[in-house]
Amino acid sequence: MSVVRDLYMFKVKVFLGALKSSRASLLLIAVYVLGMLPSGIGVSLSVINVVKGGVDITAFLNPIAALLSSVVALLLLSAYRGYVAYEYEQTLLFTSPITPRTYLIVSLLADLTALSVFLLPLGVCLCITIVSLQLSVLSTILIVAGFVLFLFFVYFTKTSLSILESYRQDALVRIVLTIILASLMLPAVSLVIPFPLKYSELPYPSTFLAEIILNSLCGRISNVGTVLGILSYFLVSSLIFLFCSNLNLYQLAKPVPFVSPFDTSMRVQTIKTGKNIQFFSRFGFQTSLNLDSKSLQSFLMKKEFVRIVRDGSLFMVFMFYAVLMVINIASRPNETTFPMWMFLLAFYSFIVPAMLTSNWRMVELDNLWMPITSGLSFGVVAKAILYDFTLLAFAVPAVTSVLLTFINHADPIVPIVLVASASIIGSSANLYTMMSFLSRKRRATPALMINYAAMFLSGLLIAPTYIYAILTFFLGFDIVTKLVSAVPVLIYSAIVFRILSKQIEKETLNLEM
Amino acid sequence: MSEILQLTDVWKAYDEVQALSGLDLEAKRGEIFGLVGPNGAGKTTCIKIIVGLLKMDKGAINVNGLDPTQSLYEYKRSIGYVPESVSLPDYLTVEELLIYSGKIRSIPNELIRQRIDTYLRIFDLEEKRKSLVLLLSRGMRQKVTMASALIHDPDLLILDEPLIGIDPAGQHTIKELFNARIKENKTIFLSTHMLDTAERMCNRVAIIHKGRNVATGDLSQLRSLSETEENATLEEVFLKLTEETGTASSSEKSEEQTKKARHGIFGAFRRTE
Repeated sequence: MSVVRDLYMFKVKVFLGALKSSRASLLLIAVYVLGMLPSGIGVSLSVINVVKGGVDITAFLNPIAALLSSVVALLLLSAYRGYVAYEYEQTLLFTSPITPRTYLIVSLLADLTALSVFLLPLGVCLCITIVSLQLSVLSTILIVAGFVLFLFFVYFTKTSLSILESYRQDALVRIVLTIILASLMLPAVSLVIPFPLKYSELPYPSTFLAEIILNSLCGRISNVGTVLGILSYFLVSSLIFLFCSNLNLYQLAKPVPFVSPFDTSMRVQTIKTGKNIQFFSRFGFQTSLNLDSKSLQSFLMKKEFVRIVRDGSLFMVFMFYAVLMVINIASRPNETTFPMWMFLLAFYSFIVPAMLTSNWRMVELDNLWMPITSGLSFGVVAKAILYDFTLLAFAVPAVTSVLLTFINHADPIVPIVLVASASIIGSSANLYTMMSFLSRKRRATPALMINYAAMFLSGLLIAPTYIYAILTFFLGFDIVTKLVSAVPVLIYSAIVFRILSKQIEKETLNLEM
Repeated sequence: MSEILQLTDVWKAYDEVQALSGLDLEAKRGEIFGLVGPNGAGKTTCIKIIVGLLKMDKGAINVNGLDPTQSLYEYKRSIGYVPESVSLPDYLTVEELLIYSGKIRSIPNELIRQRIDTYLRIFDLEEKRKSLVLLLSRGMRQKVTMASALIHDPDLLILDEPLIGIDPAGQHTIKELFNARIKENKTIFLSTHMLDTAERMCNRVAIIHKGRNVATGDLSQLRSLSETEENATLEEVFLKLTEETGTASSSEKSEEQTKKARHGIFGAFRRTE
């Protein structure tokens, strides 16, 4: 038992260690918990009102069962990869006398501990609902037990199928998995079009859990069949899990190069970047680096562009704006709401440089020794990067703006000025902030923190452009006035760009590796 | 032989850790000079300062007659550098990387083309010309880095642990290459903690310990300095010298001995191979 306890403590510490070591991960968790809580409480209050209003919520059985089934399907998808284990587990645990079964039980406990962080908002909402509706002890026990049994059923099934997939390494497990996934999701069709299969008529674990929850919330006790149903799923999955835990999974497990899902170490980033490069290089070889460039500056710009294409940065930028365009077209903006879209577009124009700068740091930071030791002023390199970022941050949103203004029959002048100013200021502010951090030997500062600082600086510097845009919209300038008033805005942006690019050159003198 | 590299009283500290404490070094033209020392002795810091990746706190450096503090960039043109842990732009192909390396050193295009062909042939990388650097093995990456460091035909080639990860055939090629370069009066400056490598490859060796030069010279000179037997290996000499400095520095006895060792012996000698 002490082995289980020690191992459990070890795994939890590794998980928390990875979580603690990255402020970005902690921030994301905090945003998740704090972001989910209000909406969760909102849902709880709605449920409470609906139940107190006498509405029969068991009518929602099908959609809730569909939601639970999709969660199960999503988790089971990972079983296609076979059984995976973190590298440290393979090195430390799989070479020790700890049995696979002990390891699996400890993993289950540790995973549940980690999961509890994410289930926290759900737990809070459940408590609020149970207390507000003054549910009986039996109903409360049924809900909690139903959730727990369901959770264990999903975990056991997922783990067993992963082990079997690695063990057999043939099509059979995959076929079974595909049939399970299809069966889980097929009745969801009934939510959209008339379809003979409905969750309410099928003995699915998600149906049983949905029935238990909805009946309990209505103050009714679920029938024995429902409770036995979920219990039998749990028992069967436990038996399969016990059988699978007897197999020697240590020889079957595939390594995962993380220590936890929150591992944001440089090594992990490098692996992820490598995968991106492998993928995007297939499309990016048309943009090859050769000796044709007329000047060193244009050569360096081309080299930077090749990186942007091959590490997937360009794809991300295109996706960013494609999504924006689709949403815009789908929402059919009118004259009143269209300016908001333009501001959103301009806002994106300085998110793009932030994204490009982060990617540059991730991919290029360790390669800077090459230009630094070459005898070339690093200022020249930084200038090439800055020009590329600015061009890209301008070109893609500018084309998007023109298309959107064309679709929405609007005037493109102000959007183009906004995008131009935002890209010029955003790119220079982002690169300047990044270089400032790097030259002050703050290489380990998370990209997110640098991005916040850069966004703050960009926000301050872009304020005059926004004032111009707001005045244009509210005062209803004609085309000539819009064009004339755009000139000082663009000159201002160019001055900011010039000052910051000089500062970037100065900062590069202090770069140390 | 004249000096191509001189370090005089170089100091460098990282926060609380003193990496270099008044390091003096001299490497001459046409020699393979080895920098040996235990882990944490300051070898990589010393190299990073020479190639301009780190700034020293105090001291003077002279590379090929140029003072880096005066000519910030020019002096680097005579240096080729191969770092210990090689990080390369993985998104480039081998050929693109070498083009990049040549371009940032302002080499004419025609010469870049010629040298790429030459080094890809020498390092047996012709088949990998169009492969992404990402997909190369560690040894191949090391060879590509070496080719990249040689693309501008530097007078001083600085290598940090150069043979790690390279197969025996590759090691042989590199040794041949080094020999060819010293015949052209170029200098190879390498750091290693593998004493057999230093013993086999280097004309002269500097032993550094705790950021200071404990002794410089050829093997026979180091033997006499450390008062070891005639047939003592570099390893035995190294252990004797570093042990002595370690003990003496605590009792403040070795100042004179270290001084003698540091300034005592210079002079070329033929390699035993």
